[in-house]
Amino acid sequence: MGYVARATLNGSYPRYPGVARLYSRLASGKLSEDGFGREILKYVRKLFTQLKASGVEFFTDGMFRWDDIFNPLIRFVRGVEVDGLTRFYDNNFFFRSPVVRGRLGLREGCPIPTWFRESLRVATEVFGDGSTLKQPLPGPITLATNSVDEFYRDPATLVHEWGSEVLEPLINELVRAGCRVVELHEPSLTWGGVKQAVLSSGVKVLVKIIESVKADVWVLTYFKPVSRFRRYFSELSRAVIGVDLAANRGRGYLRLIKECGVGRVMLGAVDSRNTLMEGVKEVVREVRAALRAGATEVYVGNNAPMDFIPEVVASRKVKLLGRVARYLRGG
Amino acid sequence: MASWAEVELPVLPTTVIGSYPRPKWLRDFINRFRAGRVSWKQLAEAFDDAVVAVVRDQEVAGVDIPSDGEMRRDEMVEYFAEGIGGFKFYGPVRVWGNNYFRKPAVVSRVEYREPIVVKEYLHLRGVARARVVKVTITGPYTIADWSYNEYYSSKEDLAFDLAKVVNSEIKKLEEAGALYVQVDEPALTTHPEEMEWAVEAVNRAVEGVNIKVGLHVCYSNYEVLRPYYDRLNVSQLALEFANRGFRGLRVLRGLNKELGFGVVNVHSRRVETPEEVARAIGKVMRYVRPECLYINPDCGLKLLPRGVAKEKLRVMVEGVKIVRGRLRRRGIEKVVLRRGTTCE
Repeated sequence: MGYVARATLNGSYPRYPGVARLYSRLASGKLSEDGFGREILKYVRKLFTQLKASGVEFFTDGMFRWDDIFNPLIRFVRGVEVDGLTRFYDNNFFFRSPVVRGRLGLREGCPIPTWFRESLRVATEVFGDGSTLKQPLPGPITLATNSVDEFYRDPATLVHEWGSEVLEPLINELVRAGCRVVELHEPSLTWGGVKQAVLSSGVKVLVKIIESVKADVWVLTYFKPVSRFRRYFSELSRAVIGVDLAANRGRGYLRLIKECGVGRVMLGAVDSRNTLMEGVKEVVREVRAALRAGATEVYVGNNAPMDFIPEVVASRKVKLLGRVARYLRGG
Repeated sequence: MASWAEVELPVLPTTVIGSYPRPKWLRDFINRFRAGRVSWKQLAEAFDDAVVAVVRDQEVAGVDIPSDGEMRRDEMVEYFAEGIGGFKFYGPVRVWGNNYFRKPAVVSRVEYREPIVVKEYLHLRGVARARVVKVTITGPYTIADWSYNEYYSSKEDLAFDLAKVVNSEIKKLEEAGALYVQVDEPALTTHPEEMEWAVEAVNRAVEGVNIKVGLHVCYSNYEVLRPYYDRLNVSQLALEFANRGFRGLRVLRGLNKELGFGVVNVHSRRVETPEEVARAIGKVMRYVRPECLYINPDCGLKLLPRGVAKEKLRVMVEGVKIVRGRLRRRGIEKVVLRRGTTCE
C-alpha cells in the first residue's frame, strides 16, 4: 500500500463570494448562461489550486453549479416537476423537492457530463496526473425519500426507477466524459424512519449500480450513526463507504469493517456542521482505529456537504485534511 | 392604548409573519452606510422611515395586524445574536439557492445586555393605525440550532440560557405595552429527539408573560409538533401550508389553539388569486373553527419583490373577505384577541 490515508473533499464546497455574485448577475440578466459557465470555471480552478496546495488528492469541483444535491439534476429528469422548498434533513438548509408526476427518465442533453468534462480539464491542468475528480450525485434512496411521489405510489418502485432510469444512464454518460469515481450521497440510508422494504430495495438498486457502471462508487452516509443499519452494508462492501464521524462517536462504525466486510472507508473526520476545528492527532487516531479494525483503503474527508459552514472555516478544515494525510505518511 | 377587555378583531384576522421586503432606497442607503458614506444616526432614521412605508403597504392591502417588516434585521438569528452577548461571526453560509446568512458561533456564555426590539415596537406602535401590532422574536431553540456551538457542553444548555434572554426581552415588551408577540421557531421540529427539551425551552421563554404569544414554525414535519400541542404555552401556532400545496392538513386534528394559517407562498412570485385563498381557508375550516383562525402568508415576505409582496397581501385579504361574507351569514363576525393557550 503506497499510502495510509488520502485526503478527500466530498460534495459541495461553500460558494466563494465571487460565485455568489455570478449567480446574482445571472439572475438579473447581466450575465448570459454561457458567460456564467465560463466564469464558474475560474472559481473551479481557484478551488483546485487551493486543494492542491492543501494536499487533497480526491475531490469534487465544489458543486458550484448546483444549489443542493438534487438541483439542478432533477430539472433534467422527465416526469419530475420542481416544487416548493423543503428542509434538508435537520439543517437550516433548503432544497426544491422533486414531485414525481410521470414516468422517470433522464432527459437528453443533460449538461452534467459536459460540466464534468470541463472541470476535469481544469483539474488536469492544475494537478497533472495522480489526482481524482469525483462526481457527486444523490443516491437512489435519498432521491426517493425526498421525492413527492404522485405517480408510482410505491416507494420500492420509485427507488428502483430513480436508479435504473436516471442514475445508471447518467453515470454511464459521466464515464464517457472521463469520470472514474462517483459519490452517491445517501443520508437517507441511515437517517431512520424509512421502511425496511424500501431500504432493502434501495440497497439492491445501489448494488446494481456499483456492479454495472464502469466507475468506482462511493456511498456516503451522513448525519446519523451507521451501526443500526449495518446489515445493509455487507451488500455494499465493494464501494467506498462514507461515515460521518461526528454522528458516530464511540466508534460503533468500526463494526462495518469488522463484521460486514467493508474494507474501503471514507472517514468524515472534519465536521462541516460546526466551526470548531478538529485536531490533526484526533483525526489520525480515527484513521489508525479503522486500519486496526481491518480497513484496507482509508480516505479522510468532510463528513457532509460543506455548505453549512463559512468558506473561511471550510478552507481551514480542508488544510487540516491535507495535514492529516501528510502526518500519516510521516511528512 | 387598547386594554385587553376591549380588543376585538374581525373574524379571520389577517396578519403577516414578520419580515417584508426592504424598499429599494433603504437597500441603497444600507450600502452607503456600509461604505461609510452615511452615519449610523442617518441610517437609524432611514430604518424608521422604511417602517412607515411598509406599514402603510400592509394597511393599504387591508392587513389587520401589521408588523414593522423587520426593516432593521438582515436575518432572524443574526440580528438577535448581534444583540445578545456571547456570539462571534465567521462569515456567510448558504440557506438555499443563492441566499445566505451570517451564521453566528457561540464562543462564551450568552447574556441579556439590553432590550433588543423594544424601541422597534414603540416606533411601530407610533406609526401604525391598527389597534394591534405584531412583534417578532426569534426563539431560543432556533437561535441555538442555527448557531455553531463552540462553548456550551450541550445545545440544551445553550437553548435554556437563550430562553432566559428571550424571556427578559418579551417581559420588556410587555412592560412597554405590546399586546402580541410572535416567537419564531422554524427549527423547532428538525431534531425530533430534542423536542421534549425544545418545547421546554419555548415554555421557559414565555414563562410569566401575560400577553398574546404566537409561535411560528415552518418548512417542517408538523407530525413531530402534533404531540406537543397541549404542552406549548402559547396562544397560537402560525404554520406554513401554501408551500406544501395545503397537503397534510389532517395534522391539525386535535389542535387546541389558534392557528395562524399560511395561505400564500413566499418562495414563489406567482400571486395567488382570492378564490385560491378562500378555497384554502375553506379546507382548513374542516379542522379548525373560524373563531380560532388567523390568516397570514406562509412565512416572512422579505425575499419577494416589494410589489409582489404587497399584491400577495392584497389578494390574501380579498380571499379572507370572501370567507368572511359566508361567515357573516352564520352570524360570525368578530373575535377577541386571546391570551389564553387554548381555543377549541
